[in-house]
Amino acid sequence: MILRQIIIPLISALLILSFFSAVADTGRDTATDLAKAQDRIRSVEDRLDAIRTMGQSGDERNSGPLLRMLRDKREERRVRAGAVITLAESGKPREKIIEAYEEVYRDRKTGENLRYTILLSLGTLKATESQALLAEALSGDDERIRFKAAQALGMIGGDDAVNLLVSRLELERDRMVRAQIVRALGRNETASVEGVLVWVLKTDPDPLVRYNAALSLVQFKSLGAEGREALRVAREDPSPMVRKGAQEAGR
Amino acid sequence: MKKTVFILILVSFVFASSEVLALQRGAILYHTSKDDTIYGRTAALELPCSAIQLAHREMKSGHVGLYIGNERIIHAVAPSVEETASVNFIPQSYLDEGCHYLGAKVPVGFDAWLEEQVDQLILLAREQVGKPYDIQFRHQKGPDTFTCVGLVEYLYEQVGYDITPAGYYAGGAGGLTYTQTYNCEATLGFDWAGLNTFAELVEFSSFEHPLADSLNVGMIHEDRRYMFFPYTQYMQSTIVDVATDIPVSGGGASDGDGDWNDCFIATAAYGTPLHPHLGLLREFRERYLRTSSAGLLFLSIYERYGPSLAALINQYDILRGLTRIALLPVLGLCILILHTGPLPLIAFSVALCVLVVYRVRRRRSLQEA
Repeated sequence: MILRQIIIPLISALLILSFFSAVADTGRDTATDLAKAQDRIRSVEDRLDAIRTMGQSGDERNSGPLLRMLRDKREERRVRAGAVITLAESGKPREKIIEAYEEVYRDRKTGENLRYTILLSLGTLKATESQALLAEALSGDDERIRFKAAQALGMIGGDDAVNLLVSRLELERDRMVRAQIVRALGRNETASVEGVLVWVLKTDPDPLVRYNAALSLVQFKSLGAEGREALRVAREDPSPMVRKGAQEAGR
Repeated sequence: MKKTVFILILVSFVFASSEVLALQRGAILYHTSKDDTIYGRTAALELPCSAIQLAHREMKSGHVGLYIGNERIIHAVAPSVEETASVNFIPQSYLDEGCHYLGAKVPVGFDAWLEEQVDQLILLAREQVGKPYDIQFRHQKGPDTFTCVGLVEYLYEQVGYDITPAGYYAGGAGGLTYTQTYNCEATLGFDWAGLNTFAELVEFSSFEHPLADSLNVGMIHEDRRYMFFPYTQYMQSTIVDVATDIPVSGGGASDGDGDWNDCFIATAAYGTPLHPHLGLLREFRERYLRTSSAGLLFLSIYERYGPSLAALINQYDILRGLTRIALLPVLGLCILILHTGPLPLIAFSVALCVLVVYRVRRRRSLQEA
């Protein structure tokens, strides 16, 4: 009786519903953005477009599938990078996003560009929680990772980040990384940072680093006497580039 | 003695003439798109007007990258700006589709640039790595999103060199104007006319497109939409050709692992992984099965036995047909849950059970009476 009165009508109703849905869907791409983003048969560009739309929707429920895409080691790297960027833009749920970022970053098999994107996204999120990871990255072997870690710390800002950057500046041998540390410090206008930048402008042997120190000081809203004097002296720097950077302050 | 002197002279001549000509850091690399087309040179601005065309890379705008030394480049490709080996500038799959290398260019008088000036260019390029690609072409020149051509333009501007000094917008000066007809699914198959301009002397070329408003594509200026194409930059007299002596093509066709499991049984039943119903099942899997312990248990069992069952279904047409019929109620449930959420379905089921129990009891009581 139950079979006759309930199950058969229920299945019939579902069959009819499915039939109509199948007919309605024929020839049309009615997949939702989530389905498109997850569909590995589609082109990467198509999936990235869907991921971006998911991010723009502001629907927090999308973060679950995006986090799974990011964690999935079998997933296309560019799709994972798209998930990183979209999650950073949405920023919710913050704890889970940062946890996933750190997990993927620490995975030995994670490619370099995905790591750069993660580091930059930690900066975008101002992830003070990840300063341990960033400190580790800042003292690692790969100069490009150190470069990105410095950039992220500059974006995060605050005393802890500044202290990490200043400590690294004293040890760093790569000129590009040193220049990036200087630029990162320049995003955090304080009296102590001004002192460090003045010291760099006066003593660093590399013109690229001195030039960026000058540029950072020029962009300070309220520059102290020491900073103004250092910029004045830098107008006589042996490097034309540093002189040009310091002259910006005179304008 | 004479022989020794001759050999010494020969050897020194060979050494002198074999000076290594390395491509300068900061050189801008260009390549065409599929079938060697690039907007402005070989084709009118026939922009793609469907997702399918985009998926097949019908956007024939070409590509630009910045050489940073040591056979590495930085370029903007969706979803972000990335640093990679120069061989990946034109991957093998692109070569197979007919993409060609156009050449490398540097600013006029680049030899006189200070080393630290080039260093600053590379430093700024590295700073952009990881930033998002501007998929809507609304902010191609940064500073937060980039396209390939916008990235290079931005970087050079930051170090004080404007590659496109004539300005931003154009009504056709120095270029070509096309009246284009679009007839595709975006126009519901009817003709849609657009006036598109490719300008060589300025950065942004104007375009009209049936999808431009709905997708909000392009930069808006005085009620018109504009886009920055690589060939515009390539044609500027502010940059000059230099020889390329580094490998710029033939890199890996795919940067993904490509190892994945999917809806085995449904794929076998429909005979294709592209069937729309599979998208529905995948969405249901991601939304409900992967988020619950019961769902994960089901998936682990399914992934264990699904492939062998799918192989069996693949062998017999009758099994395919039966599986498709059997999947219909599953699809129906998926549609209901995805569109209404699980709660209404649970409520409906509970209400149905209550109704059944009520009717059974009532019938029994009537029979007893």
